[in-house]
This record gives sequence, C-alpha cells and structure tokens, in this order.
Amino acid sequence: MNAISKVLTKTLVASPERQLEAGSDWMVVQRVQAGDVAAFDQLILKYRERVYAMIYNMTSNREDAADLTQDSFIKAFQSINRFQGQSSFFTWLYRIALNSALTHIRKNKLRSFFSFDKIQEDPSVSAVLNQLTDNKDVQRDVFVSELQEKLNEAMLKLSIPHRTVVTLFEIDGLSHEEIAEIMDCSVGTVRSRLHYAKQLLQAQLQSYVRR
Amino acid sequence: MINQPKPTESGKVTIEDLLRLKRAERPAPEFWTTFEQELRVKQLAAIVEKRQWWVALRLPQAGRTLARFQVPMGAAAVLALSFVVVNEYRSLSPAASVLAETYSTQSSGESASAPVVIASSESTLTVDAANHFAKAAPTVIASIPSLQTVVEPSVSADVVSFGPGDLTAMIPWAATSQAAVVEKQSAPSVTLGELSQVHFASVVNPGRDHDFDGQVELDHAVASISQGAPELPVDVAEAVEPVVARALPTSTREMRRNRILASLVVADSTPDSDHSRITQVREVLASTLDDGRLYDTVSRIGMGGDRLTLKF
Repeated sequence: MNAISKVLTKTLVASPERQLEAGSDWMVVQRVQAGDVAAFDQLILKYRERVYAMIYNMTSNREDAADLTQDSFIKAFQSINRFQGQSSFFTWLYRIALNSALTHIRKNKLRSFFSFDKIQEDPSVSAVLNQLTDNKDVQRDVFVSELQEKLNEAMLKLSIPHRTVVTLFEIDGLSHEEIAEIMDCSVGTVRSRLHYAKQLLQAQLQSYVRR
Repeated sequence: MINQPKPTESGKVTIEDLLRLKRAERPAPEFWTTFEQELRVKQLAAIVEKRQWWVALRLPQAGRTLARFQVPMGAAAVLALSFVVVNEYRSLSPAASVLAETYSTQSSGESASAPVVIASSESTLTVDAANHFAKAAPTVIASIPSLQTVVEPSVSADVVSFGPGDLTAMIPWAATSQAAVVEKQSAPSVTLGELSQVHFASVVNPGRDHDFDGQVELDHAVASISQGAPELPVDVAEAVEPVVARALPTSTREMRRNRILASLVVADSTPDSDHSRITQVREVLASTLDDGRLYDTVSRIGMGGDRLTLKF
C-alpha cells in the first residue's frame, strides 16, 4: 500500500484516469515481480499501441518502430525487478521506449527511410482531409500520401528534443507534466520547446496551413 | 486516454489539425499478430543464455583427441621443467662456474704455474698479470666486481683487503687461503706475488698440496678464523658454492673438511672460544654434505647437443 501511495503521489499531476491506471499497473507489476510472468502480457496488450505510436512518430519508419517497440518491452521485462514503483509504470515504460528510439535515431543519423502506416480515417481526420482537398482537382489518395510525406519530413527536420515534445504532446496526448517527467526536464522547458517546435512546423507546412 | 481534439470549425487548417493526421497513422490489426509472434521469439531468445565463444572451440573434443598423447606430453613437460630448473640453478653464479671449469681443466694435467683465469660478468684478469702489475705500479687497485685487492709494493707484507665474503663467495676454500695471507702479513720476506702463486698453485693442483710448506700455518689460520679474527671478517657460510664444490676434486674437498673438523676440535678445546663461529662452521659442514647430495641428484640429468639424458 505504501508503494501504491508513492505512485499516486508521483502521478498527482496526472489526470484521475492516469492515477487509477498507475495503481492497477503497479498491481500487475508486483505479480510479475512475484513470478507470474504471464501477467506481463497484460501490460504489453495495454501499452503496445501507444508505445509503437510514439516510436513510429519519432522514426517515421514502421519496421524500425515495430522492432524498437519489441525491444522496449523486452528491456522492461528484463529489468522489471528493478522497478520500485517510484513513478508510474507507464512513465517508466515510455522512458525506456524513448531512450531506445533516441539511440536508434542517433545511430542512423544519416540514414532515413520513410515507411508509413495508412491513415485510419475517423470523422475528425476526414473533416481535415475534406477541407484540404476542397476545390482541388487532385485524387484524394495521392494528396494524402503527399501530405503524409511532407508531414514526416517536417517532423524529421526538428531537433530530437523538439520532435520528442511534439510527438508526446500533440500525437500521444501526454500532459506537460508527464512529458517533463519522461524527458527529465521542467514543465517550462517542455512548454517552450513545444511552442518553438510548432513555429518551425508551421514554417515547414505553410502551404497546407494557410488556406 | 488520449485527448481527442475537436476538428476545426472555422474552415481553417491549423498545425494541430495536421498533427492529428499523424496521430491517425496506425498499423492494420494484422500487424499486431505478427508483432506478437516476433515479440515471443525475442523474449525466448533473451531468456536463453548466450553461448560463450570458448564453447565454440570444442575444447572437450580436443581434450579427447589429445588424451592418447598425455603420457609423452607429461614426460616432455617434466623434462622441460627440469631443464629450466637446472639452467636457472647454473646461471646463479657465472663467475663461480667459470672458475670451476678452469679448475677442472687445470687439474687434468696442465702445469700448476699456468695462469689462472678469473672471470666475472664484467672483466677478466689473469693472476700472473695482476702480480706483475702489482710489482710495477706504486699503488694499484685491482677492481673486479667480486674481488678487490689493494696492493702496496713498498710494504713487504702486502695488505690484502677483502670485502665481506667477496673472495669466499667465489672460491669456497679461499677462507683457508685468506687465513694464510693473514699469516703471511707477519712474514716480511714473502711478497704478494709469491704468496698468490703459492696459493693458486695449491688450489689449482691439489695433487701437489703436500708440497706446500705452509700447511701448518694454514691450520693455524683456520683455527684463528674459528676463534674469530676481528681484523679479517671471513664469512665462512658464504663460502658454500655448490657448483664449485661439485667441480672440486674429491681429495681437496676431503682435505678441506678434515681441516675444518680439526679446527673445530681445536676451537672446542679452547675455553674462550667463539660459539657462534663454531656453529657457523658446523653449518658449513652440514650444508656441504647437503649440497653434495643435491648435486648427486642433479648430475643424473645431462645435456648434450640437442639431447637431454636422465640416468637412473
């Protein structure tokens, strides 16, 4: 119970949903630490999409993202006995995944191959795409592909800290506080980086934004 | 969960709207099936211990192959070890070994007056030449690393100074001869050249030892050593050089032992005898006996050309 309260204290800045999530994760982690290895599958199923999305948006390569996501889960599994519950499991796992992604990016600085996942259209995405293709004599699929490429190019032109902040905030939907904890920096730094990164992206994607 | 921002209602596309498109880039459901399988494989690979590089060498197999050669290999190893040990032992005192060789060749028939070569690691000096040099020069300091001799021809009884145990370290029976030199100091008619010639003649040709008329003086000298002569500290214990002892003719060694035993008898009978000196001499005797036994063992190993022989 003491450890749970520690986790809750750490995640007070997060939303109530995240606090509940942290508590239930800690229970599962304790089971894994006690020897119930199968319990780790619950954590994989719960977080694999979010971890994959974060790495994919950092690398812009789906194969690399898949490999790095698997590696991140294996690393987490191997060192789960060292996890003491001082932060939420989610934050801890994200930090492992982010470090794996950053190491990969640094290693392959000169090599950048795009490999995109398909845009899964939901109502909000369709609305944006409709606005972008209105009054345009272009095929929608071709336009979406071109836009996707431009977006990823613009993201890759950002520095790693700026790209990380944009990915975690705008794409993964983490709060400033969670990002600050993951990136081990202050909330102010996160906000300023986010502001600067958006300015850069706006400059890169000017032709799509001003309509 | 991830907050879903509302789509723009003003009809203007913002950067947040574009980034929402990025969020919508998701893999197909089949992707997760493959992902799951690959993750299981990687998990198992991570659990299985990595094979070490030395396992790939197949050492046990190599050991089985070499098993038939283990006896000859073991014998060869023992021989090699013996060879190294003997070599190490012989190289302990190169000057002494050269001296021993010289003595052995001299005793095999050469003239007693032939020059004796004293070789050290740094210099070589013939004794005859040294004597000649001593007569010619007013003051000569002949310096050999293991032998220091200061010669002053103006004094008939030459002053011979030795470092502690220098000469005895090279020549084991030199203790006796040094004592003789001390005795000669009181006889002004004898020069250093004559003395050294007599001394070396007695050493080189032990067969002619009975011709040496200073035998009584030598016995006195040994007795004085056993009583502890303060002006000539002769370390008898250092006189034990096994290699030289082995190279000595048996008769000389026997004679030396007899002399030392005689001196012990004399020393024991003296009431104010130095017991530490007596003990030292006894140790010398004991060590000589031990060395003889050791060399009896070592002499079973012989080396000739590229062969190594063992006598049983």
